[in-house]
Amino acid sequence: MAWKASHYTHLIPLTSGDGVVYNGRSGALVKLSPGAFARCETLLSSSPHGKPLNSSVERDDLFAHLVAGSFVVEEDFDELAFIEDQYNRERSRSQFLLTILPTFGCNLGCDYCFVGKKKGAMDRERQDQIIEFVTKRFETQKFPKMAVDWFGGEPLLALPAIEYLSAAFLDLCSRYDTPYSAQVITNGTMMSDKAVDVMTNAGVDRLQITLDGLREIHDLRRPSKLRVISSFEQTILGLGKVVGKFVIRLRINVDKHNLPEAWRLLDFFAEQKWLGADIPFYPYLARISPFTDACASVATEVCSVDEFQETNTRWMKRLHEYGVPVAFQALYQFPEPKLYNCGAIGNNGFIFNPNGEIHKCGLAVDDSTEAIGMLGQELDADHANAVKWKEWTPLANPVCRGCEFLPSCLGGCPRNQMQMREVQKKENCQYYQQHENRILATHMELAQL
Amino acid sequence: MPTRKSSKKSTKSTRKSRKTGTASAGSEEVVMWLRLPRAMSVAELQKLGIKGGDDICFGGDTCIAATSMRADVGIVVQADLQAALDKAGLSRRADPCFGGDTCIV
Repeated sequence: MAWKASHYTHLIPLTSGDGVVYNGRSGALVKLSPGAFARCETLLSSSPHGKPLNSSVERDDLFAHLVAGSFVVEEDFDELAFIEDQYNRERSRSQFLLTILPTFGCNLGCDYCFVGKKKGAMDRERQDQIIEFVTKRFETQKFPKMAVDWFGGEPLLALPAIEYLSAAFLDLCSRYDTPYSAQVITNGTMMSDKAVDVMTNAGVDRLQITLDGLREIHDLRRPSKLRVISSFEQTILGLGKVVGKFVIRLRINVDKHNLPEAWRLLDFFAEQKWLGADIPFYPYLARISPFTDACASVATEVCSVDEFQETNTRWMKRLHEYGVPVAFQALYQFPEPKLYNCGAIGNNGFIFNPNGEIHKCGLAVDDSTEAIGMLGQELDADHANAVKWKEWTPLANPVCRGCEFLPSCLGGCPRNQMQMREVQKKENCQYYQQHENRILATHMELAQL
Repeated sequence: MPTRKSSKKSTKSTRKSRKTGTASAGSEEVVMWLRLPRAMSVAELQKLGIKGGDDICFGGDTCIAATSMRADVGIVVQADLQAALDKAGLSRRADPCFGGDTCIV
């Protein structure tokens, strides 16, 4: 049997002299001592890329490991075809993933918000139509899992809708023996005791809450529409009610202007005693980008991918010093092979906005021309908007087909690809090609293995 | 720390090394498995020179340490990734993502 080096094997030297071998398709990861790492490099480069390795490599002690991790594959194994088959299979049987906007209303007025200026809450008739939509799908399909993201607007302005719909979802999942989980993406300012009770009873286990800095900066960037109230103070009060009760991903949207502010925020979290090994509180940086026309004005403010990643590496190290378990965590960009890359291209991913529109892409949820249908009506599988998502594949792109980072990227955001958003596409490639292996090395360093 | 030692010489592991799969790959060289590509039987692992017992925890298609926020986990390969994720209240980065405010990259 002849063998070749996998197209997706990455050899990553560490500062200690050791090295890491990672395969993006299989996910296998090994650390090698310096001599073994050097020999591995020699073995894998013993023939030109894609050509059979010299048969003598099979006599090396390392070879069995290389086979086990799919770091080498049989010469006639078509890795790209394997990825393509897996991608098509997984998107067709994806988890039942709903994003529900119970309201477009929001008490904050963030200038970079990608949701447009629409207003209005979802009425009970629409909510009943969602239950009908979900029930019909349970009657005809078996889902591995149902997951709901509550989004908006500010979803906690619509607690009765969350309460009402969640009760129905939990009942359906119980009847059909399907695991259920839910997340609320909230600005954290509406965190009353009632809201905590509703979320707990609604099967919510994760919250994503955003802070952009300490009071002065946060209030400037994420101002309350009632100008006399500090949104920062409100969010901190809210956090005090939920830290320790839910898994909290604390998002900090950063651009050129508030990047330094993130460090002060981290010190503030430490003062609050929210950072540590036993507290499910995970602050992470998110790079602001002009995702939609509604937030296009931020284009000149964004920090570069390189600048962001450099800061992010230091951020991970500081969190590690505070005892936050960062190493090997997906939230902190630890690479993993993806099965498919976006809910929008999964067959079972839907977004409902307050007007009853059904969408695929969260970034277009305020654009009625992008809807794939309406609640209360049969979904037309041949609707042009639906077909667009169903047929999109990164494997149609020759650059992606040849890329050694394909398994963990899968083309990035499909919307960026479809709309030929060249800046975003370029930044996505830059992230994987220049930073993914560095990030993996950082995780190794932090893990101290 | 198991690095730089052959597994044969490693008689008693540290807390971290108990959670890793190490194998000798020649004199004084170590292959430390951090994430298996899939569930592998003990027999398969033994072929790689990795012994079972207290030193390692195998099974499952990927490493829970890659997705769990638990501090007490070093490197553990767990049988049911989804169950572990559910327990930790997390989803993989590989999970579907609707971009924008929910996107982490």
